[in-house]
Amino acid sequence: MERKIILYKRLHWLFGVIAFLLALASVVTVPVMAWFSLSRTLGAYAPIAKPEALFIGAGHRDFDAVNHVFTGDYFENIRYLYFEGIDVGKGAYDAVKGSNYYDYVFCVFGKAIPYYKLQLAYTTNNQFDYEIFHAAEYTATEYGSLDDAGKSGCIEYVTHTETPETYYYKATGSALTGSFLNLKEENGEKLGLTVGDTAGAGMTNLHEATYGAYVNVQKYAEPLYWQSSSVTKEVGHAQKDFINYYILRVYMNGKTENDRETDVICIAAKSA
Amino acid sequence: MNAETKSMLKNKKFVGSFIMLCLLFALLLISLFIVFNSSLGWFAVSGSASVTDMQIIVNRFDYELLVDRIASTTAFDNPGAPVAGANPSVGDGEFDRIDSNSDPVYPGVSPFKSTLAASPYSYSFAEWSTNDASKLAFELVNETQTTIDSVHYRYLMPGAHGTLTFYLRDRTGSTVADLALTTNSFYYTMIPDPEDSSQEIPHVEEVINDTVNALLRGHMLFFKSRTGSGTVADPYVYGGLVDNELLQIDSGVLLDDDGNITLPTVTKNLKGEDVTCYQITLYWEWPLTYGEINDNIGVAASQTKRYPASLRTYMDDHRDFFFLTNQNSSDPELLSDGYNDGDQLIGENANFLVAFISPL
Repeated sequence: MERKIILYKRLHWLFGVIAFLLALASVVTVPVMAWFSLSRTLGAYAPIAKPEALFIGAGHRDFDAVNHVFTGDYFENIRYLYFEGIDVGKGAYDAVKGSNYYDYVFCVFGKAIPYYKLQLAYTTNNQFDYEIFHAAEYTATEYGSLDDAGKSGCIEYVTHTETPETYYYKATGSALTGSFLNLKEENGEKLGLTVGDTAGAGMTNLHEATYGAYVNVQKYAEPLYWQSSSVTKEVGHAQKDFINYYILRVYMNGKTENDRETDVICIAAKSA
Repeated sequence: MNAETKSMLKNKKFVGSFIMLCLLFALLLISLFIVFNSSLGWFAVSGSASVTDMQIIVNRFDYELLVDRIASTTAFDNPGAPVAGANPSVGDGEFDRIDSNSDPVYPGVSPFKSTLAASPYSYSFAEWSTNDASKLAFELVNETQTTIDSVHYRYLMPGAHGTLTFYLRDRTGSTVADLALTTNSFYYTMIPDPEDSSQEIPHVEEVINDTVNALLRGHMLFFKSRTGSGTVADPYVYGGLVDNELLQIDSGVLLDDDGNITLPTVTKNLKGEDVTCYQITLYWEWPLTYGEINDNIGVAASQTKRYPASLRTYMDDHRDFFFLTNQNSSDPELLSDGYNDGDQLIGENANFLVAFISPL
């Protein structure tokens, strides 16, 4: 009996040591295993596009034209481009077009975009024509020192900052060249190609791209798409900040009566 | 104390000692099992025979994860050398798609791959090595392209979509595999050359900005199923949003709250032997706008909407994954701005995305 107990005691001691060592080993190896299972992965990778720093705003943005940097982050949101106050009988008159028109200012600004295109998309309820001009900007002081001919054709823009400032814009040169993508003329009206229309030379029917499978679209709701020439591109700046002002000229096209027709106009800028 | 009591006491000691011994023996067995288990994982990984069709990246007792092998023998004979057709000479910055010769230069791809190949990532690249690897990187399939100056690029960007395919070889036929799917991002920059401070060298490291990484989880969406052909008339319809970074596979079925997906089986050549595996294809999309998401979340079975209803819950639970600004707004226009701001922040801060899949 005594011998047995001693034997057991020895075994007890031995097993204890082994169990202790193994327990220790398990403590050490479990983190090691975690390390290995962490390491066993697959990784599917892909490059992410750099977003284009190209934006559209309404009127003025503070800009240091010498160093090509914006001073401050504030810009006039494009939602300040109001079309209210169009009175079809009034506005300036363009003899060549034979139409009254209204001018509105907007700007394109960004960073490190060497060239870009301007795009317009609009519905045709009103049968207005739209043209885009480059615009010169004058501060109130600069405007004050202009002669009558210089002041003629300037439009006023008041900023929406805490202390509003007034700037003046005037179209320079001739309208930007460009082309329609989906134009058709029907009874003297300019319309977008719609379901079932055959596209004329250089035109594409964009109904499906606009409305998908939906076919019950009123003809004036088929938007007309226009974009500026890809040959004479709009110039930004290859490395630095830039801002360009534009005048959107809306021709009334002989419309004589104010009514409740509504049109949607989208202006877009795309690097080219 | 008489002799009888003495003997009983000794007996008691003996019984106690015996019970202790049994306990210790059990403990020993448990310890042995744990140690054996953990070391076996190590042994399984260390195997590195060459393969002809597939590469093993994860080897467990009961299952293996595999990916398609995409290297030619050139790469095997001369690891790191360009694969015939289109590939990687290190340093030329070329984004080496294996399936096309015409893909253009992507800035930073070479330093990105160097970073992923170095510690602590230590990834092998499917196009460089034909050996089994414990960590293997390959290109995410992007089905969309964007054209810049007449060159087609396959960039991740809003509106992009594609697939991610891998295989599971189930050795028991009833294995439960829990896999983590996580997305990380890396950025590319120029740093002064440590050897010549007048020069700059390209450098890629992981994006540690939590805001960017959170936004990726709401902008880069992974789904378990997809139907439709991706045209205007027949758009892709997704099912089974991967919303908690978890993929659970049980006996060849990909589990999902909206309905489990039975995985198709394929026969592939592995080390000269035909093996049957389950194919797991995930479908990813970076939705173009908030409106695109909001207009297309399914509510009723009768309506064809592009995203599962679970995306609504996911978006409500994790506003910070989707919107950088206006997170608490209910105005769709402001939310749309917030989503776009998120796109912008990702694009400004991350140049590469890696979707990691690892067993839990």
